[in-house]
Amino acid sequence: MTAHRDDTGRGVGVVAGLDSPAPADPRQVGRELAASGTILRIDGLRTYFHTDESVVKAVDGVSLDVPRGRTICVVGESGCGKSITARSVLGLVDAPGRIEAGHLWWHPDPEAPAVDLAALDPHGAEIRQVRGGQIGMVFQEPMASLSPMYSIGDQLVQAIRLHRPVSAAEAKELAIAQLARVGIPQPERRFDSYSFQLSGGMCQRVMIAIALSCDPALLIADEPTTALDVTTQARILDLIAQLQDETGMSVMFITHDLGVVAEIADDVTVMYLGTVAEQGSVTDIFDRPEHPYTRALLESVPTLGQARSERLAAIAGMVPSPDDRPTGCPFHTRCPSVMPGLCDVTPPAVRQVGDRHEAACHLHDPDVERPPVPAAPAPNTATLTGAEDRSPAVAPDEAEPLLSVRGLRMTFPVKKGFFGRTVGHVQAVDDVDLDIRPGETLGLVGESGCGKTTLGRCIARALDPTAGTIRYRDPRGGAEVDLAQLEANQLRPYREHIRVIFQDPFGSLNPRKTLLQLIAEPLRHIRSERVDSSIEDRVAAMLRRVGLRPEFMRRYPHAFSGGQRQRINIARALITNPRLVIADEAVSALDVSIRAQILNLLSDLQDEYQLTYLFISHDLSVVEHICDRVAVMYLGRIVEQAETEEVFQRPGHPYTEALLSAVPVPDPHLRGAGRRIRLADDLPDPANPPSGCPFHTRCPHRRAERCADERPLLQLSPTGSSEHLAACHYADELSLAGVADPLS
Amino acid sequence: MTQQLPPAGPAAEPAVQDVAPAAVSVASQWRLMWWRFRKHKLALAGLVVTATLYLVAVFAGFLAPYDSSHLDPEYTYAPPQRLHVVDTSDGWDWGLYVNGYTAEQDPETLEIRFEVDEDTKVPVELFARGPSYTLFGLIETNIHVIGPADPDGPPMYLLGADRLGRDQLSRIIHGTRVSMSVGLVGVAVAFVLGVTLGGVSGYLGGKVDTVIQRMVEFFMSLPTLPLWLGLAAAVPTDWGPLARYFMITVVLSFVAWTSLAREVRGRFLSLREEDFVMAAKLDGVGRRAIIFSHMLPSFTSHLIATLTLSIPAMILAETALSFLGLGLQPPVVSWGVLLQEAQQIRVISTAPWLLLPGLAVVVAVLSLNFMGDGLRDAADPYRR
Amino acid sequence: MAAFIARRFLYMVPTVFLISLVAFVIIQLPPGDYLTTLMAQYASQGESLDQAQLDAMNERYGLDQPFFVQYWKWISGIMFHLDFGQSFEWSQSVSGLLADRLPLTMALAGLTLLLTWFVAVPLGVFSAVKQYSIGDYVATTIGFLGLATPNFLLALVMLWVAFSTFGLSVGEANPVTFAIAILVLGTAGTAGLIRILRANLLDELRKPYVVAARAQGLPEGRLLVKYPLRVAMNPFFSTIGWLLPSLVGGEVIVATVMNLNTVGPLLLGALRSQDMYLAGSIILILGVLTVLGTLISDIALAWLDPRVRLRYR
Repeated sequence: MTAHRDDTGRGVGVVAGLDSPAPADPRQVGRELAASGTILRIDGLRTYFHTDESVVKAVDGVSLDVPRGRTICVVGESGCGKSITARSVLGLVDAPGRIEAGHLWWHPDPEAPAVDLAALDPHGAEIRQVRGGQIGMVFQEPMASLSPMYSIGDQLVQAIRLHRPVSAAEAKELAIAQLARVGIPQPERRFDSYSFQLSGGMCQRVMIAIALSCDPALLIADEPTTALDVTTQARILDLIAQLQDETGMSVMFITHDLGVVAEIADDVTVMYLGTVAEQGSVTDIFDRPEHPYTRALLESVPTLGQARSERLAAIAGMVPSPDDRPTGCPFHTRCPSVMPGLCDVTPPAVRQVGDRHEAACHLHDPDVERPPVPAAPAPNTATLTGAEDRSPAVAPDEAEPLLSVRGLRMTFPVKKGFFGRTVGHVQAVDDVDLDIRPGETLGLVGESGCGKTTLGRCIARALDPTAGTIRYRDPRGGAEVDLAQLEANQLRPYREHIRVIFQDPFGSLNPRKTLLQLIAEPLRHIRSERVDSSIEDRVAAMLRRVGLRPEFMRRYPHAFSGGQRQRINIARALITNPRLVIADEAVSALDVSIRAQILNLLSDLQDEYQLTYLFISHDLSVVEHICDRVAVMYLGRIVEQAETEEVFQRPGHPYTEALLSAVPVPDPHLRGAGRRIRLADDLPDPANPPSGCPFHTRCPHRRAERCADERPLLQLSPTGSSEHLAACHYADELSLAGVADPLS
Repeated sequence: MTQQLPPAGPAAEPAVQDVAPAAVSVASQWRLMWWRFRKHKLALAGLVVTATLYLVAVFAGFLAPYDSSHLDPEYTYAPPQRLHVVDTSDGWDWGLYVNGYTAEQDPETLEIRFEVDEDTKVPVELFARGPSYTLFGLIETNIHVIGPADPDGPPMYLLGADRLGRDQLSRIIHGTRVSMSVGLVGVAVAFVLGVTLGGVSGYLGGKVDTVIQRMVEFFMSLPTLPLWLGLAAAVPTDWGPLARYFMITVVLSFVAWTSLAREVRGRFLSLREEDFVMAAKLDGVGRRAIIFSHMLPSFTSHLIATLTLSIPAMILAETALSFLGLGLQPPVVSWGVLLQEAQQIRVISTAPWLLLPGLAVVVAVLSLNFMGDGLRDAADPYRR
Repeated sequence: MAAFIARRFLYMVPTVFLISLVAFVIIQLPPGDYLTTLMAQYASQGESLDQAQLDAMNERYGLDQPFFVQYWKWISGIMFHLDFGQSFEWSQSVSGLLADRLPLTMALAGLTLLLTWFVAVPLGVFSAVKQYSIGDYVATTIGFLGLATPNFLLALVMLWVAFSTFGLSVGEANPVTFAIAILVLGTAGTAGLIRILRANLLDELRKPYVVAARAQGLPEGRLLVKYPLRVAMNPFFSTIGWLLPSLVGGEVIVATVMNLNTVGPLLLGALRSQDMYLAGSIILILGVLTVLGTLISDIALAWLDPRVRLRYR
């Protein structure tokens, strides 16, 4: 990809100090770029943020080439500088950020000289020609990226007329055509809609329509699908690929999701702490990763279809803050192959490690006497608990359920107007039956808004369910009780049996309390214990158990990172020695490497304390990795429920099939494998759910009879085992596809 | 880095790293707030000036050369004197003194004009004996920080005198008491009303909330100043100064509580949705404990900022009401009452120093505003 | 939209009713009733009222009847005959007095509003766009000073300057005092608006849609005016609601200092001499004006902001 760079002696790590690389001749660069088929060359880019206290080097010497007509993915964890790199290209870095050094050689026309975008005035007319006209950009939050004050049609027309000399009427026609092109139904009507009337997926389509309205040569997409559901993500990725086929544009795609990378990338750049760790073709990166960080990243991601018993390889520690960057190789603090005296002193140079494949690591330095690379590159893969122990402690069929939910409903009134009249109801949880068995991990999956969190909160009795029963039997003895009927006081003893780990590691810990206060709170209030040294001892032991130091007890949550806070949350949940732990998207807010640490911790704790988990998540790969059984929710109802393998290999409901097919698999060789099922973007209005089968409005297998007017019940699916339930009229007739087997 | 850590259980992940320096890690909310507030230079200055003003109010008797009712009709509209620190009349020497006056009567208008007489010296001393007063309402004394050396000799007017020959400086210092405390007392009344009603509204929700919200909206739709005027005018004129003072503060807080109630309600509503409140509920924390140990501490800092920012409005309102003669009445001394003397332009042009109490108002309001802004910015040290 | 306006009008009714109640309570607050005051006044002038006159008065205001009957007599007079009662100090009908004074008051308020907007919008925008520039500091300082200075103090200082440097004659209304009044009244409003606009615009400028619009290649000027400024202007329209009454309120003091022939000094005089029908009527009118202002600004907001408009559809 960037062989020339070694010829000229320039490279990522070699650039010393802050001075820009030697001034280059645009024509010369233009010829080079034309020869290598490159449309944009980022060369030694440094973007720094100057604050009163310090200089944050968000991007610190990044070089990469965007190939003409192809897709490059820039991948990395949060804070690695990938978004700032993308914004720097168009001069969109907000104050106090500034491009300090480097070139951004932009070369849309192979015949013309290259243009250095970094040298243009960020407020000038030249860069404005490039923005929108030659390079289009889409952002992470589609809803917030559209102005609420103008209709989407107005905004699209404006974008068209900025770069094309057309009349208002012509522009409107073009705009409607553009809306149709990005797959917006009824574009004439949608033209007058506002962003807040559309779903996130629709808004992202509008953003793409705007970005592509003037046929740019390059589309920069900055995490465009991160805020969207997996089904919507799949459709947006398809759309970008299809538009790329039509127009031959290049795509620079910023993401943290290796599955997405495997799905769409031609080339990949892996970033770490503002520098490039490794770059190469997508097969090189996935098959022959040469940088320890890339390897660790790949291993820390659970893959659909991967054997469940495997422990994830977590990367030790966490990404250091960019204003406290380690000396030497930025990754040396977490690297399993670190060579003391070298990695922590000298930044590694970028070296060729294959054809168009380079990595910035001292391991590839020919002059370095290197220690043998550990066979397993990740340090913590020691399987401390055997894989066989991961099966439920009690055989599923014989055991009485720990918790048995029947006919559970949770209805929220919709209020409106001056006196808060109730104008309607949302059935967030609609007649749910669910059994949780002792010792198992039950996964609860579904798109956002399907009611999975509400169901979890009803079971924890954080909410008072409208109807139904929640029968609970303490496995360590005790009579069966209906939690749904208990008053606050009667409920108190059960609060220590059922505990919740929340999603948001920041919002779920009161910042004004110390760890001791937070973790001891359930002991003090549920058991009315006094704070004495015995409580302190228990908190200390629990902190140690979740991987934090006991002396952190007197600290406040603000001193901890997201992953560490999630450990605190786990400690607080487990301090009462609970039976059931409801983990509500407990790892969704975390970066992949941290996520693996927490998932491993949850597994270990389950074995140690014989815990039962209700694991609520939208991430199917994580659910497949950690769960024994899975329940799939749609519009407040459970549509399928079975053992994990059943659900993933032989789904019994079309919705499950669609969900599975939408999950990107982090293996470029499986691209396009399996059935591609794409659901319409919009979830029906939960206040006005469809009649009959709630899924019939989006179901690809919908039939004329029954689906629209008869509500299907959860029943045994004849395709699978005796435990496989699905709510579909035609479950026994359909042959639905599961996850593609990676071995086949 | 990770190897140095103690092993943490059988399946320990060496994930522990210090993200924050130790001092930050154990810093409570108030310490974090103070660190943030400290960076805000204007706010810090506001804090210093405000604190000084309240100190002046407490030690008014000691700081003022005269008491507030001291008058000397011989010195009508006497101009300010300059305080000399060095005596050069007889070689160079330390010595505090002010120049005396020469009086001249205009033959036509019969107006008496004062000129500062450079030749006469009125000796001034620190910790001078003057009129007696009680400090903190307990200690009876007659020592003033500065005053003419001879209490029975010619007077000292550092900031000039008014129509009755009363010392402006002393009266401004004494006025600090009422003017600065009106804000505090008024805010206290508003606080009780606002927090109670807002809290009830936000925590209970439902019908109660609707009723209280309509009430707040109604009060907010009333025109403030005419309402103040109307209510203040309705306070009977024959009431004693204390009762009148209290009624005026009640009238002032009548308007201020609504915004507080809104703020408290909004905070309660958003906090109710916070995960950590839900977590506390699941930890078995009772309703009252959730309110007092989780919710209230989360917005006391915001509340303090809002309270600080509503004091200046009260000070301004009291000044305006008293200036119009509807607020406090002499012999009570407040900055607004003092400004009553300056209603005529002709008077002002003879004695511009009569506007000085206005300057005191501006300084007080500015510093409270700066301080309040700084507090508001620092109120949420956990913002990400 | 029509339904929205109709509903907002309906919501006004209870508010206006409560305001009238408050105004009437204020009328009733001073000790003794209207007649006693009136008789005392006549007595002080050495005259006396005969019984027939007293009876007529009693009948007219229902003075010996319960509170709500009196209230009804008062409010029905206003609603059906625009009869606000009698000002005993001026011995004239309140409506006549107000009709004399209102035009000048409205002119003063309107001109001040215009001045406020013309000064505050450019300053606020400049201050936000060029945050931490010298201009920003100047504008912020004006904002702080304007808010910290009592209106009447500013009026006094300006009059004093005009009097001592330009030899302006004080004591009668003339164009110069009128201009000074507008300037003084405008200062406080301008100061407040600069701060609101600056804070709002700074918030809006950080929103993702601004970056997104910039990424389309929109020139900075157009971007600013079309996107963040339009949203930031929202509170601006809400100011119509409180600006009008606060202008009239601030005008009470300023006009008193400046001897202007407007409603303000009338209200003050009425309050001082406990001419309660006059005072109560003015308070009622100001209250209704506030409610009307809020209504207008709500409608303006709904018209300008699709989020508001579509929520109420």
